[in-house]
Amino acid sequence: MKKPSLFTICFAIFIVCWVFLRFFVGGVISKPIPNSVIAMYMALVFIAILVHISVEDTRFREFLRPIHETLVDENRQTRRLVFAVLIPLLMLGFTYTNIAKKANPPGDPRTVHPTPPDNLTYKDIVLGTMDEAENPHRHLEKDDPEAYKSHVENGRTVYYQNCFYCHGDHLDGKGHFADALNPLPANFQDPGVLPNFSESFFFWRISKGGPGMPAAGTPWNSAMPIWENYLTQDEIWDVILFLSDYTGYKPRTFGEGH
Amino acid sequence: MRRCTSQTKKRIFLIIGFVLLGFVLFSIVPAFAQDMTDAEYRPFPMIGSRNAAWIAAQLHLLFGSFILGVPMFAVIIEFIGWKTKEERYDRMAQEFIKLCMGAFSTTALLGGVLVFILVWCYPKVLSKLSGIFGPTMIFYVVLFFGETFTLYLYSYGWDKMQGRHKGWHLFLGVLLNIWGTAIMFVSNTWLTYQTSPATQYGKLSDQAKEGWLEHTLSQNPELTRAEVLKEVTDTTVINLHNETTGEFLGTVMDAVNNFTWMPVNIHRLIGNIAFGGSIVAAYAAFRFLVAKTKEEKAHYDWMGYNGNFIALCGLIPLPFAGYWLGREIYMFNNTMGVNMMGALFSWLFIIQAVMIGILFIGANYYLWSGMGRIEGAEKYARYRPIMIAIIVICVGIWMTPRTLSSISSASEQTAMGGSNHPHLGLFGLMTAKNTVVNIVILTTFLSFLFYRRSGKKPTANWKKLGNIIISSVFFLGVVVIVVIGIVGFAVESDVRVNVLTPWQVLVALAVMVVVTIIDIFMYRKATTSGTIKWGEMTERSQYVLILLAITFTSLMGLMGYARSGLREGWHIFGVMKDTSADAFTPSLSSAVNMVSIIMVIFFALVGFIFWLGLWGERKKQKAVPTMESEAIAEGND
Amino acid sequence: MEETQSVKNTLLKIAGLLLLLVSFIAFLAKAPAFPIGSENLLPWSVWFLIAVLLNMFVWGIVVKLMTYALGVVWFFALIAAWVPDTSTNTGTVTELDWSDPDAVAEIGLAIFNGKGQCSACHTLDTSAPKGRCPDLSDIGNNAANREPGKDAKTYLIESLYEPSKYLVPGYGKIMPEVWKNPIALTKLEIEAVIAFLQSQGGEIDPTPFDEPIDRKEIGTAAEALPPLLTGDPEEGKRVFIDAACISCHEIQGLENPKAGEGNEDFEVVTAPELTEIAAFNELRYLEESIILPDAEIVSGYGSVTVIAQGVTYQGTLVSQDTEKIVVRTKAEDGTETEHTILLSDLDEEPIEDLTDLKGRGYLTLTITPIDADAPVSGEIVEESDTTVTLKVGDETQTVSKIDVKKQATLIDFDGVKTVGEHVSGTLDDFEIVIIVDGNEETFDTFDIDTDNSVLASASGKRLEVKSPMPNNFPDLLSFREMADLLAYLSTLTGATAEEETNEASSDTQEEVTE
Repeated sequence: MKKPSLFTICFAIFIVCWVFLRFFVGGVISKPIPNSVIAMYMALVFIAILVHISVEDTRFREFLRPIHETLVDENRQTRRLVFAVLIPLLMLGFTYTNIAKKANPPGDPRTVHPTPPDNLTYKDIVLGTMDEAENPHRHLEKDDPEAYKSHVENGRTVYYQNCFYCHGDHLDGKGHFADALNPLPANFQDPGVLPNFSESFFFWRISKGGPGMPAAGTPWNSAMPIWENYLTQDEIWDVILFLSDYTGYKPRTFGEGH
Repeated sequence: MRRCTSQTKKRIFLIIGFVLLGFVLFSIVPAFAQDMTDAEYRPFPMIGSRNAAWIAAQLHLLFGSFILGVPMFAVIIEFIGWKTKEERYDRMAQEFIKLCMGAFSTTALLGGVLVFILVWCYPKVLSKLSGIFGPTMIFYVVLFFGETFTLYLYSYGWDKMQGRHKGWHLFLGVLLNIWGTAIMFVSNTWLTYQTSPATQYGKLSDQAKEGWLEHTLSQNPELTRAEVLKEVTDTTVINLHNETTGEFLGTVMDAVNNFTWMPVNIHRLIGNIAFGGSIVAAYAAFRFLVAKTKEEKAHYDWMGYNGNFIALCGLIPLPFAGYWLGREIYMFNNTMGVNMMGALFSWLFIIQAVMIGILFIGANYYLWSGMGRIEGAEKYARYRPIMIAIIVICVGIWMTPRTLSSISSASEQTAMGGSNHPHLGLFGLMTAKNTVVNIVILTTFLSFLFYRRSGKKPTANWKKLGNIIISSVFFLGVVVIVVIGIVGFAVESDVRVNVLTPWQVLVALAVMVVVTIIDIFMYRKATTSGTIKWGEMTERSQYVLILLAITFTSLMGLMGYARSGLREGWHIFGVMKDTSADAFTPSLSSAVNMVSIIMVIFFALVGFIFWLGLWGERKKQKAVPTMESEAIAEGND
Repeated sequence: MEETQSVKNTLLKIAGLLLLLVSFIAFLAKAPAFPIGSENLLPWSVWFLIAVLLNMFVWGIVVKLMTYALGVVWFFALIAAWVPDTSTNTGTVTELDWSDPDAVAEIGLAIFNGKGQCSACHTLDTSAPKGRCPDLSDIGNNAANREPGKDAKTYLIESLYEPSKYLVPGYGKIMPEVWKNPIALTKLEIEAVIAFLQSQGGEIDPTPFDEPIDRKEIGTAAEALPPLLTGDPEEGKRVFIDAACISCHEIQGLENPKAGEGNEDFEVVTAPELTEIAAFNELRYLEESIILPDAEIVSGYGSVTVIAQGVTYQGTLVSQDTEKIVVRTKAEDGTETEHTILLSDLDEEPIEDLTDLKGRGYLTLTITPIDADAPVSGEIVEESDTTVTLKVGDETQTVSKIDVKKQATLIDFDGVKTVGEHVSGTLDDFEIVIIVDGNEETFDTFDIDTDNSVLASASGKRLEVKSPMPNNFPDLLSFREMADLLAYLSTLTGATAEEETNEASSDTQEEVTE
């Protein structure tokens, strides 16, 4: 059997990578990957292949040989013709599908974590700037573990009375109502949620809820209620303590200065 | 031949003229601006004030980087030439300093234009800034004069100070870089102050401490002095302004030593080294491509290699400096930090990841191509596919956005269960990105190590052991970095930012240092098994060098937008609101379009300066036409 | 031969350079793509790439390198154009060019997806899952049919300025008034959105219109509103019980202290349960419902009195559509019956006062203009202070409300009824003159039963739905109590009930769910 040309091998590697991402990663071991992300990864695969074959002159020439043959060889008339028809057609098709897009509303043009206001407020009481305001019970963790525990317990009660319907029994955002909501309720078990924001940020999001989303977070289709209307300040702080106690993730703090 | 011809005299007058123009414009700023405080803004015709200021500032900055980065390169190269006694290094350094002369006057001119635009369009902002920074502006002008004369002496004294005075000449070169760095540091004060007009309590002057205390007490009459002082530690963030009137409370030094000043200084300094190197490499690549003779090709191949080497040296620590800057921004204002990495500017950092990915892949590509011209480098080729895979996978992880909501359709989001992908979403977190950056840096370092070893045979009798140690150090380093990265998912951000990430960086640096030391000893008495055939480079690799220079410059333009855009609707963050029509933050694509236009102008101007240099060279060689001049003549068509 | 070759080459070179520059600038300027004129950047990208390839082949090294450098710069601009844009620039529409309605519609689309945030709730795709608001993919076509007598544009204008004026069945009162903060569309922007909506399955109508609102006046009125949220929910709960809201409205977890006190005579009207009222409604809606109970009646809770074929039905309006209504009546013994009544079967009632016919629930009108012989009868489409537009058959006809022939129905004390055209005199005068069968007859008002006789300007079928809730709460409650009550109501998101039921033992929970 004839050994496949370098070009064919590279092409096969490319296809295998695509199948791997699209069907194996995106189907067998995880959830489907959006096309735009696959396109990004495939561009990298293309670059990787290109780098590998073009670093050395001999290999590059070997790679280009079939292309060169197709372009100039006398015996390749038919193949040339097929490509001459196929490539412009493909380009046309690509252009057409791109441009003929219907006026679909965008998927969800909002910013998931919008910029908070400068000051943290509860109803109209200013609790300090976003940077300065801190959880008044947090220090108990070190100073008085018993009292801290009672605050966490209180937070647990608040959570299971108010939050778990959407955010779930295990704080993983899979509550009873979660399926009906868009955006999905926050998943506190995700390492990207608690550790990335300060407690004041969470206080802000809880107290102001979906309607308190700033313009950057709009369209504000979050169904989260304005909890400051129902919960006291202490209850909100406690529930934040509970979130980090349950998941083991600590909200972001800002080291020294505070 | 090497006398002060009338042409050089003309050139000197021209430069001094430009500098004087800049000086005049600068010195009249305060008076001019204070006169016109009644007008807050004046529109710039056609393109608008912001765009005008944007173009002028970015071009000024790029040329400033050029005349700071290229002399840095020149001095390093001159030093190498002095030590190795190889004349070609010296010649190359001189060639670039000549190019700097043209760039220098352009910088001064652009600075003047920028000042003019600011005075005309933003009188109130400028009067506020000059009210605070008045003394530094005078200092700036003095430094500029120092730089001008040192550059003049350095450039025109090159030939006269050969031999016995070479040490003094090098000293001039170092002095030139000190002036240049100081100029950059001074101008950085203004713009970093605009972003972060605050500092830590411990760094305040006594006057500022007093002013701040009085202000705090007047704001909170129920507090006593002792109570306020009890709350304050040395690291408390102190706003330097009266919260109601916006009046400045400290001294000039307090404003200078603001939160982001030092990180920006260091970031730009390292960036300038890399920028200078990449510009030199691109110039060499251009000359290589137009060269006709073998000797010429060899010379410019060698020059490109050196430029790329210096650029790599700057590129490797650059992410670390950037990380420090980011951390300081978070320290100054959490909101600004979230805005930068998580909100308004998060997609900008995806573009940044693409650009840095290009830089690392390109730099490695150049090194691997270069191994093709060294005999005996073939044995390292078998590692290359693995290294390519590692780099590409790391870049892929770096480029993966956290939130996919805006680049995926509604049905795709339903399929993956939300706007974050359950697994790929983890790649979007800082800890994953820090990990892959470190691995990419280590892989690039390994490429360089292979390049260095190519064509050499170690004679040390412990070479086997040495290789085993080097391999295991690399392996262990990567494992530790990955483990720290995985741990980083689980710990609180405070620990991650202040402990884990610095450790990752330290591990990466330690691996590089240890390996370099072992390698130097192993190859101290190495025999040469193959020579470097300078000039036998592929043309593709030269295009890559040009790609690197353009990417680097574009990256500077993009990050300039990010640094400036972080202020959002403020002239001075939290103190002076931008009330002009341009107060909004432009969309990413229009910002990058703007950067693209600036790039085109910049490269057109740099190309013109290079062409002027070639032209002068051609004139000199008119008597004896060579192949080179023909090539240039063709190039000028 | 060689010369033509070189001329050809030079031309190719220049063409390549020109194409390169033009496509690069057009790409950056986001110019309409050639040749299709859309906003998509793909065609310019293709042109640019063609130019790059061409230049790389035909030019010497210097231009080749310049092309290459430009290509790299362009590549970064391409990535930036590809990733999502976030700008704080909302953009301002300063002018609409109606000579190109499609361009206006395109601006409207941008606002629809952007500043207007319409796409957050409305879909434009019939196959999409049902959103929070109606799908608008065919709105240009069906806007004209949504409300009888409203043309598409009027319907759209009114729907955008007063979203709750017409509700599509099945959808709630959730759309904000887009001209108010925080969306705050300008008039031009609303015009563009309307043009876009009309382009969805219909024709764009570029006729200018006046805003049905006064931005200034309403702006100040809104600012002058009392700070409603200052109320105390606990006090509000007391008001809720004391003001007897609780006797009709149920709130889970709130016990009626008077329950079981055994006031058998007191008829309890069913009213909407309020346990989760605040979860789905704005405060403004709650306020309006207390002050003007009739303004918006929850489906299934309106009370109605209709006369059809001589029979009077009084009860709860269960449902209503364009042809029939269903009324549930309650007999003395407590049994409930549902009656389906065709609207065409409703009896015409004489109308004395012709102002605000629609508001008073009139569906049709029979009226005799002063210059006409026969009465005109038809569906009421539109009315103003002085005129009314009727749909007679397939045509519409506008008649004056003032210049009409009055109809007198006089009944004497023996029960004899005389119907005729009114000439002069009123029921309060001593004499009244009417024309019966062409003859003028004079009646002495002492002879007729003035309480049952009617001197009507017209007659019409009427379906008036009222809220059974008393409309005198504004008089009964003090300002303070009202604020407290609203504060209490706005806590009713269902969460409190859950909380209390959670605390209660399991058997009471069963009771509540039953």
